[in-house]
Amino acid sequence: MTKFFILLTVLFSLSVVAQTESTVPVFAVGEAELEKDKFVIDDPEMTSLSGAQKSLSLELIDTLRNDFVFYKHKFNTVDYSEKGKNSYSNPALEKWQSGGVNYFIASQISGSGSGIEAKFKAYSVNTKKEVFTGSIKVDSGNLRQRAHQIADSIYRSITGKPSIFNSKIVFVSDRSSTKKETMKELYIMDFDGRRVERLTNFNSMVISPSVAPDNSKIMFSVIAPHREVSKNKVRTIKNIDLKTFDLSTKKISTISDRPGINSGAIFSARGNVIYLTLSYTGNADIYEMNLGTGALRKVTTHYGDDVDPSINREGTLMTFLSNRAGRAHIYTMDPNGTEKGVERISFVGQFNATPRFSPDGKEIVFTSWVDNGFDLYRIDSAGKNLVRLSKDFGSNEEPVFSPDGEFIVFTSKRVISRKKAVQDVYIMNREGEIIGQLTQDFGRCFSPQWTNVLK
Amino acid sequence: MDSDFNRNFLISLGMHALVAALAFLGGKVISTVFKDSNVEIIQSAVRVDVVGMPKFTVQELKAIQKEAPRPKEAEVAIGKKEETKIETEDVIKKDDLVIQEAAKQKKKASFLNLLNEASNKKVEAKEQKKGKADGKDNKNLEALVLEGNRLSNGTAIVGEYSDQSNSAIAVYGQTVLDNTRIHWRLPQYLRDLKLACQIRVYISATGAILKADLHKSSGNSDYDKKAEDAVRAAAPFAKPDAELAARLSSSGLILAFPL
Repeated sequence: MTKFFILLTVLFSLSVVAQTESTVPVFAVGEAELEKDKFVIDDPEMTSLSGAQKSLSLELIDTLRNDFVFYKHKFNTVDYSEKGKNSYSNPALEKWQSGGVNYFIASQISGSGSGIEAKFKAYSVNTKKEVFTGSIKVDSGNLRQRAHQIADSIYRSITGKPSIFNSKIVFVSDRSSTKKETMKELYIMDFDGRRVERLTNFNSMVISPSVAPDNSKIMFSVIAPHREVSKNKVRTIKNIDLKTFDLSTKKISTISDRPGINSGAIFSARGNVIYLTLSYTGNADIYEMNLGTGALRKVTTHYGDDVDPSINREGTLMTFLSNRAGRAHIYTMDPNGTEKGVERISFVGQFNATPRFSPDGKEIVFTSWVDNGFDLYRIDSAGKNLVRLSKDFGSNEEPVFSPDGEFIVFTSKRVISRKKAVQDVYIMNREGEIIGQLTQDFGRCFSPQWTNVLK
Repeated sequence: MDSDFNRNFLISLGMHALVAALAFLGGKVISTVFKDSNVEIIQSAVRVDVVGMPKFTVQELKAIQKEAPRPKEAEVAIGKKEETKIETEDVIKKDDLVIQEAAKQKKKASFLNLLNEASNKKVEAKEQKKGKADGKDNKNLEALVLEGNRLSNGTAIVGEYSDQSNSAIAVYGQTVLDNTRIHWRLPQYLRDLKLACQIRVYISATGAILKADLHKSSGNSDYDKKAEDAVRAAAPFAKPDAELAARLSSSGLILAFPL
């Protein structure tokens, strides 16, 4: 009996000691892929509309749907059979929920004078809550603008962020060239490539546009005639001057016409200073210029050529292109000093060009010559995580992030014959998925720049 | 004499029982308070050498990833220690990569002229090719990791496991990760919240999930459920060998979403 108790006690004690678990390993799964939201924009309920009003209504809904196609990496537009059956009055959210739909957009359109009035409601199907309600008055003159506005409102109500729908793209085209002379002028279009408008008539070469943070002005360079006196002789030479175009008054002003290059200018986030490349000292360097006083401060002083600055939103980091190491490579630095904290972030590529920050300043998109053409690449601002965005798609240059950081516009060139090449503006999402071509049969297009999204 | 023995025996028995009870309770308290003290993070050591501009685009890499074969239940059991072949790469200095013989340049052009020339070079018109997602590209994966666009297992700097059981579970865990990553998706609003959770998963000898528990919550039930759903959708996993199966079914492994 006694031995039994002793044995029991020993076994019990041993079992406690043996209870210690073996090591449990932890494995990191990593960041999740984005799950697309299933999305339905239903056909509108239409009441007593004329033929013209009906086609206006359908074009409005088509434009709205087309806008959301740009965000196809976020939204999966669902096709369905029963369209527009009283969905505004009775949205039947249970039916959509069973079909796995996350968001449902319904509309009701009635006549208003010669135009229409469209009411919209957006529902979160999962929560069965109305996340947006609004109405617009539309006529043939403002249809696309109104459609983009309502699309942006719906997008904001779903994602909490502004979209690109109200933004525009400024670009340069040589479509006004004559047989004898190439001329490049400034144009502006909606983000989807529609409603193109010509802004300048220099009959000269406009280059490197940049948009002010409040979208009030466009800054650009233009090749302009200068009078030069040398050895008592006056002659006309070509100079690259820096100018601005006021979008409300259409007035053009000169910012800098120093001898040589006055180019590649960009606005700071506050818009009160600009960064540009000047070569009047004989060497291409980046300067900061106060727009109020015109005062200059040298940002780079290296004997190499420093061009193409791009600044992050906080104004704390500048990326630029320099040949200071022998080849064209991408560098970053603190623009608040002179040659302050310069770091080289690209080490490969035969020829790199046009580095541009993402809106959050965390990434840089640039173009690099590989094999027989330029392709687009993305790298983080510390020089890590280099990824390729384009391939086998012509020669791709001048990439710029959209104001929401989700897209990149760029130019793509294809050679048609020994004498002819086409170059158009294209849009891709930040992962390199081509969304589409924005310009077509519009001459050769260059230097697209996005306007900012105003809050 | 007998009564003395009985008294001492009872005292001894009581003391032993008390010590055992205290040890048991203490163990429980310690395991609760220091829940993660026996948790060990396993991840592959990585060294990446950028040796050129990436050959594959992001879209092509995604297509290759989707095409990667998923381990099947019938596959050979994982667990036996395998000699992991590690490619010994020479460390390449960054500047070495771009410095090419200057003699190749016939003339020395200015930087701005170079930029202009490069911009005007003609290129052949090519139609956009769809992402190559065939088996050929899968075969190229090995070559791909040497091109600076992807992380390879590289040469271990830290975290190499000499212990056989740990190596086995590290190899097995990688297959679980590969399966789970395919299903790890979040809607934008959850991705923007930057949350993290951990799921502890117990796996049977057949590779099926015995149990999947929330080990650490993100504080958001939708996020936690998405993580658990990803694990469940990834099963069945590869079949572990008997020794590993015993470990996986008793103590399991923890999947951290995202880190």
